[in-house]
Amino acid sequence: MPGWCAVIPRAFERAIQARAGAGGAPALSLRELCDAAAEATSLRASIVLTTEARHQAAIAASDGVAAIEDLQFTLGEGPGVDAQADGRAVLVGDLATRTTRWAQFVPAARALGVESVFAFPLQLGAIRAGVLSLYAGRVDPFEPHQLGELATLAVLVTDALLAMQSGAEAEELAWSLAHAADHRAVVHQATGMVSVQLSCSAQDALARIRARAFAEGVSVDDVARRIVDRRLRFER
Amino acid sequence: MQDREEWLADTLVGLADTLVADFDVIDFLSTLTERLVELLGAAEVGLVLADSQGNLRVMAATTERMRMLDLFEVQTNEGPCLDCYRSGQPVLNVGLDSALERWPVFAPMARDSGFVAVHALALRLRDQVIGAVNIFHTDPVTIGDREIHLAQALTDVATIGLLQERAVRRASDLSEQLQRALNSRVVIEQAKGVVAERAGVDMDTAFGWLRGYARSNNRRLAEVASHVVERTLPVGTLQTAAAAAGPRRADPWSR
Repeated sequence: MPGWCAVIPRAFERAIQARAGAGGAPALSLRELCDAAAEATSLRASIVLTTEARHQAAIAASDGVAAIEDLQFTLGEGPGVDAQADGRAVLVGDLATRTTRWAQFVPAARALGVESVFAFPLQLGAIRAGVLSLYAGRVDPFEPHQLGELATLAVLVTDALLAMQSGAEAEELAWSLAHAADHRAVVHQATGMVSVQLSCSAQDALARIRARAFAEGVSVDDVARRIVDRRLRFER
Repeated sequence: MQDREEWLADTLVGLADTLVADFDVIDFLSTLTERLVELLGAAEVGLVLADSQGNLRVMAATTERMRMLDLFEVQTNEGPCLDCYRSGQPVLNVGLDSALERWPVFAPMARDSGFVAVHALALRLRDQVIGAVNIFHTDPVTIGDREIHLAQALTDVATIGLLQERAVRRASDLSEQLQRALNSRVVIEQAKGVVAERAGVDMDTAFGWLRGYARSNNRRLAEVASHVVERTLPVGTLQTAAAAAGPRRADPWSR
């Protein structure tokens, strides 16, 4: 059996559910999503959303790390910038080893008390919604198997983010996290089809499909299958 | 297969070719499934990888028909791939008629698609199972030990290629590489949708166009797919290329 563990992902789901259940807020905010990731990992976290042109669109960050994101943006270098550009996780257990790669970022980040960074692209196929970064004040805060859990966390954050952007309410969001069912081929195919029908991005197309499923009270799969079977079209 | 040794040598060289830098994961796995069809006289072969949550995801199949993809997707819950993934042991020569209780959803689905027998082999890296290969027969055949050993050997070579083993020193590298491979597959599904909608063709044809274009232009399938989804490669270009290449000759996808 593979060595997947799920302590961090489960902690994230609990953190989301706690926020969804509290305060009667109609929907989770980006900040709450970021806080849930921070809580699940016991680290400081940031989520940077990017536009289709890959520019920063919105940012949520734990106390003290917003300045680090500003720094990356200003310098145009850093683990989050690389994660976004390359579409792959950038895991740096010890920032001091990367002074060549990020000559300006590393000293500035360490001056702010950060010693290790773990940056994950929030992506689903061609959809690149942004980057989740986790910041620790010490070197190598994770065991190797926990880094695998962080990859799962990034998948869950992506799910939550895409659901939030399709207008899902907090309770639905918590539900959809617990029933992550929309990774089937048919959903991705339908996303491509709808992006043509509406002349929109894949991200917006997926949001429309999910919103339709929530509105009809059926699964995302069900809506996707009707689209692929050409029994349902989206009109502009 | 008149000269098995020659075939095997060619196949191993072909798979090893993809071990060079910048290889295309999805195309590589497609090639493996095609070779396994030839080796085992199978009707269809598909390959699933486990995602970071342990769910099995389709990475490659000898046809991209929806019904075929469904047969792999249902195995997130039950079926030969899941049994093989969980136990690490091969599932061999299982007649579907005798497996209705073992796999109450999968077995009838596979039978309705015309299959009679199924097998699954593990994709293993050291002590870790990362996925499985699923083999479908439409005849009640029994695969012999020799064929199984060869099939497992090809699967092992493919696993090493897939994970570029030397680079996989840590669990985090492994999960990152798997996540990247899975994401490539998602881009391809999205691109199939774009092509199918734009050109009014089915998903199988859409995949054939994407793959044909990638191969004839020496580009990675996932990269071509990504350009299609982002509209930096017009579907018309794929269509024109497919028309110029003529009917899908010698292409197992057209069966």
